[in-house]
Amino acid sequence: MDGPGASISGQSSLAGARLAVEELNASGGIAVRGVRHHVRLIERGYENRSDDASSQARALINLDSVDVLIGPQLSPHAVAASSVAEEAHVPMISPMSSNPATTQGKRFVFRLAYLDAVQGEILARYAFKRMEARRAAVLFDVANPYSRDLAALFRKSFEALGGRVVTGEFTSDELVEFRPALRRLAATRPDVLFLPNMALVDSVQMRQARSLGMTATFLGSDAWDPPSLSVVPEATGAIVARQWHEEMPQAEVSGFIARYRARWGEAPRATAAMTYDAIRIAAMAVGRAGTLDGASVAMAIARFGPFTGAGGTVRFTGTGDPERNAVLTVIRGRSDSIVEVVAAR
Amino acid sequence: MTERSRSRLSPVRLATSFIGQSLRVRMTVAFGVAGGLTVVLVSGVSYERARRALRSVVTERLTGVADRRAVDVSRWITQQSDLVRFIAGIPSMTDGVPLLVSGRAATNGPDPVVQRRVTAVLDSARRAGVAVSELTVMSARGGRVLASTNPGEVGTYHVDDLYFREGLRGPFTQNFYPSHHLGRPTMTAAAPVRSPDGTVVAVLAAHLDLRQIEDIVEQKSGRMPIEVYLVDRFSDPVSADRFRRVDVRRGLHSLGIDSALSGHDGSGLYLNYAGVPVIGIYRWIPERELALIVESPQAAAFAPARNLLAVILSIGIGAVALMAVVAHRIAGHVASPILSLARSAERVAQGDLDVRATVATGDEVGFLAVSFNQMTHRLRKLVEDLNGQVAATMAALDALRENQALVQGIVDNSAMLVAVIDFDGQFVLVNRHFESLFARRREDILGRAVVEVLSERDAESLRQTVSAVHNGGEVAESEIIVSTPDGDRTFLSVSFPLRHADGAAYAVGIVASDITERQRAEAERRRLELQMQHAQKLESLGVLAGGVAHDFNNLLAAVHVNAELALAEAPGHVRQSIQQILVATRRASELTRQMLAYAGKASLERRTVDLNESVRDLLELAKATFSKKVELRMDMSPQPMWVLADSAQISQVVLNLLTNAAEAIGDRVGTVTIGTALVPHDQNGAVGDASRATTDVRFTVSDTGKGMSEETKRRIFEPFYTTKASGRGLGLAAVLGIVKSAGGRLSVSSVEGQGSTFEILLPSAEAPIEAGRGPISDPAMGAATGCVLVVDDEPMLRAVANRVLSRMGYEVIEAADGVEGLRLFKQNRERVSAVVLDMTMPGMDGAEVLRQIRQCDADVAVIVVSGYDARNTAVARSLDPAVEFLQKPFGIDDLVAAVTRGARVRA
Repeated sequence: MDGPGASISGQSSLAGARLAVEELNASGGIAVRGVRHHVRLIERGYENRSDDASSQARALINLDSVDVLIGPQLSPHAVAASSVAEEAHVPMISPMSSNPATTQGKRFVFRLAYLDAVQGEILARYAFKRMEARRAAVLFDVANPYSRDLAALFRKSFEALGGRVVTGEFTSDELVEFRPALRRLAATRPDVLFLPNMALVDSVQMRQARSLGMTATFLGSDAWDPPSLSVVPEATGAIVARQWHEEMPQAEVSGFIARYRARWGEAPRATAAMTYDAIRIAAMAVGRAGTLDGASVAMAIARFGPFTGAGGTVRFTGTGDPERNAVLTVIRGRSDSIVEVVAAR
Repeated sequence: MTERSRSRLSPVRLATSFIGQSLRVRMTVAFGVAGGLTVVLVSGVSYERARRALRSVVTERLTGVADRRAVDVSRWITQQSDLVRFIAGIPSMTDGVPLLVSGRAATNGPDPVVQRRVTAVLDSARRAGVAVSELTVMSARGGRVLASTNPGEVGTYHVDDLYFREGLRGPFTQNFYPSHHLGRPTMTAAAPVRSPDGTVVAVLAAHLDLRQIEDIVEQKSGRMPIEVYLVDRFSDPVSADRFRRVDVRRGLHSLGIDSALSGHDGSGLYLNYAGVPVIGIYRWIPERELALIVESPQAAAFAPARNLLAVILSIGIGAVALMAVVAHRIAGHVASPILSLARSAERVAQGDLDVRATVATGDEVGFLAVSFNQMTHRLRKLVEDLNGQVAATMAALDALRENQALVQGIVDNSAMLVAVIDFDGQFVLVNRHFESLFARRREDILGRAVVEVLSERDAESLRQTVSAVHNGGEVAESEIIVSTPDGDRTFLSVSFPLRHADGAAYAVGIVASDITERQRAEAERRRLELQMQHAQKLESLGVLAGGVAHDFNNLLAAVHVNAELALAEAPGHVRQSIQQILVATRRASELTRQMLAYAGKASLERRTVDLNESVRDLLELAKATFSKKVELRMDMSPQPMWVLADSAQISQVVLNLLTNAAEAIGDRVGTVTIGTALVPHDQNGAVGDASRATTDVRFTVSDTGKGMSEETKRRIFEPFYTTKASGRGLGLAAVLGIVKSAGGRLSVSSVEGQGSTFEILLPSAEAPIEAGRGPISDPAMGAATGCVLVVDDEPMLRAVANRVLSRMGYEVIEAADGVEGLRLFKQNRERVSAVVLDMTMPGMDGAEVLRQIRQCDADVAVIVVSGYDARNTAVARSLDPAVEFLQKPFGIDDLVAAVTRGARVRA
């Protein structure tokens, strides 16, 4: 019998998934109605396109006959793949996707991250209240629904608080030259610059922004990768909304970090921890449902929790979006540290 | 129902037995089976070949279809692509689109007018029959939708989509892919839109309407049912509706589909996605990343083959059935002589040997019939001979059986013991006597070893007998003792060997007669003989003793009387000696009396005697006999103890007992107790004429002497038995004789070491009228008158009597024998007062004389003098109660008293 299969983007996610599966099998696999089953991890990578994401999801479902889909991480891809999973009645858990469209109106699709609405809200609030910022600028990828929607949500929250927001757009086929847009934004002399963009892009943007003389504090979204920003001096002081942080207090988090280090020889990223939890939750849901039937497993996930794992504590309350905490961190040199923890619903 | 009968009735068994039993049926069935197999083979092969042929035909057809459809699909796709390119190049587009792009840049939004115009172009293009579901124009930068046949698309970004990226570079058709945007799998043809100067400003993309593909694919072709469909690389059918999407959630799978998706082209027989057996062609169209499947159901495809099979089978079986019928007839024809022969054989088997088989043909079957007849003929003769032999044998057997029964009867009923034992020591035959003797049944004896039936000792002796016969082979006679349930019995057995016809011995026969009784009788006879001899010895002894005593008595009488006479006239110094003589003669006479008593011949002078008196008389003598150490105790009854007995004998008895008592004590201190008493008469044991007495006189003598052993007690009354050194052993014998003849009983009790008690019981008598004092009455001498006749053959006795009687005053006449005595008596009858008559005389004996005298004179006194002749005495007494008895030897006083009494009576 095949166990859950996963479509993973990113090495880190893969590492987390592999560790989770190894541990599961080492303890005898999943018990379904008293019979123990081995968990098999089927990995498919896809090109950085939504249609390929959904294609690979299709392949996993039709050709590999997976029982559970884990991923994709990036929201556009997750949204594309989610419709495939929903149609095929195969449960899907996207560990990191925060765009609401991923789970909206679907029975079989779940996430572990908190929604962009929350993200936008907490960033706006922090900037306005803590940093006492009154003018915010946002540079976002108009072609990327994640970036686009998150920018809009931030704007809505910040303006609701009483601030002013100016936005600038780019499209993801322009990965290198943002200065024209940045110039325009810098002219408004913002206090904070929100960059809800993918990793790599964000560091280029920060550098270019600084080079233009902008002094605004950068605000980052959960698409940022703080560990890789440790070598970007411009990133210091940026406030980042994150799904996960290694300093989270739960014992499971530190335990996971230790095991991950022992297995892979390096520190885990957020995607690793969240993917790890996704697989564990999927396995436990299958065990609880007592069957591999998609509908039953989906129902089991929908009522799952409170579950405390490597990625913190989550609790599903009947939809694909769980209750969990959100974390704001500040980048200081080589690492970032938590500044605020907010309960997200 | 049992296992066997159940199986017997099973259809298979019935069938096989039925077939087996009938020749015709077997032949027919064989033919039928052969024919049937042939038919089956032929039809099978035909079917298979037909199938193969059909398969290749269908496959060829399907392949043709597949080829054509594949071409059609490709062409159609190419057509769409070309169409899109064409549209992208029309002036309306090349003019309008750049404006849209630039307008956007300027006013932050597309010019609505231009947009409308471009949209109209798109719409008309679509309507014109192009198989497109949506046409979209996207700006080259960012992929933003500038215009679309789907208004909702405007403003969205497609920078991510492959067709956009590729479309920027040139015409591109994105192969079947799941479109999130459309919500279903689709194909998209894209082409760049160039501004007049040739730069790419936008991409025109057309999402194709796949229903047209369906139609292409679904064209019917011929009358064969064919299913043609396309499957993408994810196993999803291109036209999902047709497959009812719900069922294909995880894609379509079958051998054909999976093979095609793995890049192979081919054909085969397999189950399609719905499990239906099909003939299928599968093709992979790599440039389109599509699998083309053409399938036709096998059921329909192979129907002709099946039909062929059915036809061949039915015709074939029909033909075979027909031929079977013909074969049946032919077989019948062939089989009929065989069957007729079989029937004849059956009759023979049932016992009819007179049957003859018909010889119908000249072939092997006819020859068989001829041989059959010869066989039955010979068989018949054989049977007759055998029957004769059997009858003879049966008769012989009967005779033998009768003989056997006869022998068995004799053996069984023999009063002798008959047994046959083989050389293994086992019983082969026993008769009834044997059975009853050992209280066992034949069945428990035959076949068993001798040791199991008889005791060890008997078995051993029998074994010796058997082995003796076995080894010696001769008849042997022996006496054997056998223990039976009734005790040991003695048999005289004859054992002889039993031989087979060849003379070899195989067993031992034993015939034994029971001689136990005979032996016992023998033993008894011998014992009695011995006893009689003993008795005779005693008797002769008695006779001897009697004879001696008698003669001796006579002599003693003479001595005694003369001694008494001498004593009367003897001078003083001689008197002592003469008294000694008298004592000695008295003692001698005691002795002879004892002997006579023992011999039973003592003449009895029965008178009523007082036992006490007798005892008192003897007391002095007794005391003299006893030693000083012996105390004498008296326990006498104060009354007189009258008994009817001879006083002398009583005295003898008393004296003997006292003597014995004293001697028992011997030299030691002891006590002798004498007792007399009257006791009630004990009827038991009384003998003789004393049975009327009601009381007995008991006389006991006890001593505390050494007592007697059992053996001594038994023998003390035997004559000549004595434990004393002296003595002749006659004392107690005499005592016993006396007591018995007096009608009494004598018993002795003794405990060795303590003492003995002799007890005599005598019937008591009435007191005499006259208490005569016995022999010592003293009539006056010389006072008598009259004449006495003395008849005695002894001259000495005559002389003695003469003197005594003369002294008494009588005149004495002597006669020497009976005849003379009678003569003298008759001569002197008046004068004779008494007659002294000796009973034992030669010639006429005393009894006769007495009779004759009585004839003459009835009441003359007769004094009978007897020696030992008790019988004669009894006779005499019975004749004449007035007779007086005088026992020899008698004393003078006795004679005097007797004469006096007799004379007195007379007088």
